Amino acid sequence: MNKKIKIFGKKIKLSHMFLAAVMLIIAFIIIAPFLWVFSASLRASYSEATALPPKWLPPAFSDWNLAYYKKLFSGELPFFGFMLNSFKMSTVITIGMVLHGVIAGYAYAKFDFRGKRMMFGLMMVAMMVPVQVTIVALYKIMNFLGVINTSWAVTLPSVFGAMCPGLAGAFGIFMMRQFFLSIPKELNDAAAIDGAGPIRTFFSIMLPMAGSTLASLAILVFTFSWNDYFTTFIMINDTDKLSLPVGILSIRQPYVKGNEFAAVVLSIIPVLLVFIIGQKWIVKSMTHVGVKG
Amino acid sequence: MKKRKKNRRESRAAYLFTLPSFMGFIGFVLIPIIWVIIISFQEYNVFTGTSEFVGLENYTAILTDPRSISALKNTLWYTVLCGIGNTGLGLVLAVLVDDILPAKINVFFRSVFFFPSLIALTFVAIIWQEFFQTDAGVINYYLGILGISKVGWLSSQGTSKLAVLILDIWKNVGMSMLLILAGLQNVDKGLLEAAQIDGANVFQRFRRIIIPIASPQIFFVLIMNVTGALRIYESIFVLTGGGPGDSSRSLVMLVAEKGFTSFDYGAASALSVLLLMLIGIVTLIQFAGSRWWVHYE
Repeated sequence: MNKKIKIFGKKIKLSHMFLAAVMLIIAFIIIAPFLWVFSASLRASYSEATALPPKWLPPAFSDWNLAYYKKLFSGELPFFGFMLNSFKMSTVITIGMVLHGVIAGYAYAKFDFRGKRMMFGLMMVAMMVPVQVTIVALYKIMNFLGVINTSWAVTLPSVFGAMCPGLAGAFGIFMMRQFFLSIPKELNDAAAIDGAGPIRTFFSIMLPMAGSTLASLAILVFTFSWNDYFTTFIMINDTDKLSLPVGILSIRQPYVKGNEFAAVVLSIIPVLLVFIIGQKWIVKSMTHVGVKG
Repeated sequence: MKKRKKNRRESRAAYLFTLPSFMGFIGFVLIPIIWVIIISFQEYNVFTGTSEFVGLENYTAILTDPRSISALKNTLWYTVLCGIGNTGLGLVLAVLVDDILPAKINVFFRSVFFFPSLIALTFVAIIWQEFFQTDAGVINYYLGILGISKVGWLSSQGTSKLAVLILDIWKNVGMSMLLILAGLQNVDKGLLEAAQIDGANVFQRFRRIIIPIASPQIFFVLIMNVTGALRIYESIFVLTGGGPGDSSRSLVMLVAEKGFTSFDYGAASALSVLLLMLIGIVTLIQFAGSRWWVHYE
């Protein structure tokens, strides 16, 4: 397998070419559904979209059927309303979670205080409890607070129990604590000698250093809250208040699937753009989570 | 004296900093957990809006209900297969994109494999639902070319869970890959070369060097995938709606149905407590088992 052949003047191992071919096939399986839905959203009818053999590439530009997109853009279907709702909720959740996460993470990393171990331990255990377990009681609490069927019923619990895959709750605190633990203690001592109190040390020295970890956390929380389904599905009833992942199911119709295909495409495009621009950062921030896991 | 003053200032700041999240934790995590346990011993009357204590009645009811037993079995099925499948394939992909090929090619494949993790499950489930159609579906079309007869992915009780599993792995394997990759970067490439020179084959190098060194990351990913699978919901909801029959219904789907369609809060809460115990047990087993194979530096 270690034979080498020449391509573009470079010697390449045959085994490497084989590996690259396998990875290309996997890559196709990964992107095929996205290619397909884009192609399907531009077809005139459902039967044309699903005709076999599957059409992975969109029709020629002159044959594009934009009727379904027009429906979404004209407001005939409340698609952009859903998008706006999603954006508002995700923003509130992200800001809330980053704010309380960074200060608590700092305190657990750098301060000694009574009950620290107990508090932190409780929160780490709570990370294992998904919102799905507590949903009945959460619903009653939101009902009691009078916020059922408003975005607050989603954002309030999510800020403190965000829906990272497999992890709930104290995720942001954990991530920020890991970051601040990596900053040498001498820096705190130096600040204390210069007469800075603990709070000033945090705001003027520590916080500015946390920029990229904060950004990583914000990206992660935003993505996961943007994609969250369950909490919104349970807490919100009115169609016009729904977030995108829940709302998209409410505009489904049997046999006329062009609407939802077009909606899926429009929902994926912003994520794709953000991913292409921030790819390096996103991939790096995911790796951050793993390193200290 | 000065030290004590510093400590007092420090703990005041500490409580100021930890209080917001801790209050939120108590209000939206701790109290709900306790409350769910309490509700699980009560029966809620939809007409009067009152609840009364009924002891273990909800628990005996769900444990003798074939629907919850089947949901429990399905959830365990998803947990084992999504957990092992995502983690195992994630590990394989991580090795493939680590550093065998040139860096630029690796970065490209990493990004492509990871991309589905960023997309909401409902969006991609809508697409995969079309792929899984028996007659007009893409998957059966290609299976047909290979000479395999049509599979009723979403319409047969035997394969509905498999369809959910395939979607879950397709969507999440890139995330597992990326997290495990972080661990692989700790592997000293010189060590691998030395092992190769000493005659260790690919599998020996994998088992004796790569897995032990990346074990903390692999363990983290395993926990993440397993707890994720224990609360599996959206993919089933969109793909099969829990059907055909109850063949793909998970515990969380049953919680949502009992609690918010039939307003049987007691039964829904008892199921939630069951799920909570399941999460606890599975996590404990994993931590206990991890002593055998996870090595922290």
